[in-house]
Amino acid sequence: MPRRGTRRFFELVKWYISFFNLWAASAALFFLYLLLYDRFRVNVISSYLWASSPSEGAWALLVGTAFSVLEPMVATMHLALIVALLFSLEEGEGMSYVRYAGGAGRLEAYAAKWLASLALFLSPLVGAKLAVILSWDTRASLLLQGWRFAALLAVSLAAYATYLFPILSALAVVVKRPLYYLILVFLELYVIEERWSLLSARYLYMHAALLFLPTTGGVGFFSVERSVLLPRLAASLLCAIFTVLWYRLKGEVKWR
Amino acid sequence: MRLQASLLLSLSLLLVPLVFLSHASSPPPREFWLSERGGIVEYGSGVGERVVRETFLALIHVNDTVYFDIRSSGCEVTSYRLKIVHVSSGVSYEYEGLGEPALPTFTASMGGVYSMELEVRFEARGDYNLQVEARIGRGGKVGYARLYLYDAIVGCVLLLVVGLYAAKRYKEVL
Repeated sequence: MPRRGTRRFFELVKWYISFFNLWAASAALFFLYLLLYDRFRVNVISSYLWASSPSEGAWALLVGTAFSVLEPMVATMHLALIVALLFSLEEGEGMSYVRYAGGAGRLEAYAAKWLASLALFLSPLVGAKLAVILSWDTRASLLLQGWRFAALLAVSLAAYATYLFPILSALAVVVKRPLYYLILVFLELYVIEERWSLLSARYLYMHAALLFLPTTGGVGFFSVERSVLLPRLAASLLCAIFTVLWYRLKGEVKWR
Repeated sequence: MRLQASLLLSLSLLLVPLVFLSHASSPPPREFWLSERGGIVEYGSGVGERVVRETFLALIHVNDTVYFDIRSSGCEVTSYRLKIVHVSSGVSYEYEGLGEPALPTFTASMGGVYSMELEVRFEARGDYNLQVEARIGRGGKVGYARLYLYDAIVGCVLLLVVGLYAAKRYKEVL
């Protein structure tokens, strides 16, 4: 690993992507998402839901159709498992010593983990959506202005992952043991999953992946239900600040 | 290497029942009605000729059929014009008719998003109510061979890429 600079940072990101063959799990997830989407699903939207042109409307319809009721849960589980490997198992297996020996600090590692988790989370999800969209309508790839929707989808899903990442990682940092962390997260996902609960993954995921798409784009995501989104974003920010403070308080990992 | 491959395979195989469960709990509909998304409804009162113009987008696949149906009361339909365009290729179909119409059924020759523009002229006589319904039925799966081939190619390419990368890493580690 290079001693300093952006090259070391991206080496670190690469290292985290290859952690415990996480990239291979992403490939498996790609196939799972493909199975989730109904190959022969039909869908209709009325003209008042369109953006501006038929080609944009076509993409809005395609992106909206490439969705499954199981998808929010699977995606959130995937992110939770990525965080478990990047935080709990990294610490448990002593990988943080290797990272420290390479000269990377904890905050740098935190940023690198965020970027790596984003890449691992988004690539199978957006890849599967694009694959199913292009198999439904291969020529749609020629409608250039419609790709705005694909970009919008990727950005909003990245925003969803960025919102969830600090919360999950703060939990993983505090709980330490991967098993306990997973029990807590899955309790939240299965049992306390309500509109008012903190993660409320399914509801927010629907917002990110579907609801704002045909109307106003990224702005719509924040304006649709500000009262629901703002407290959660604040909680996410607080969790990020907490993790940074925790790292400052605990100091660097020491050889024992 | 063999262990990792078997782990990956078993994980994927474990996830397959989950997907079948999802399809069992919320099965994909065999038919789809436009009225589930608002539909086309025109009502009011008055006398004279009026026009309803409505456009909607439909994602359909090879051999899927779209049926149109007009229900009216208090008015008489004089003519209709239906224009169907395959958005991404620009191929278009047009149907026109006079009098109380039996609207045509449209069977898609290729999959994709179709833009359907329907214009109905009618003669209102007092309180009128006009409702246009589009129903999409799933067709036979004869024309899907090409799509399955596409899926197979995507799957094979992905497996090949992942396998080659795994082999490269395995070689590096050794």
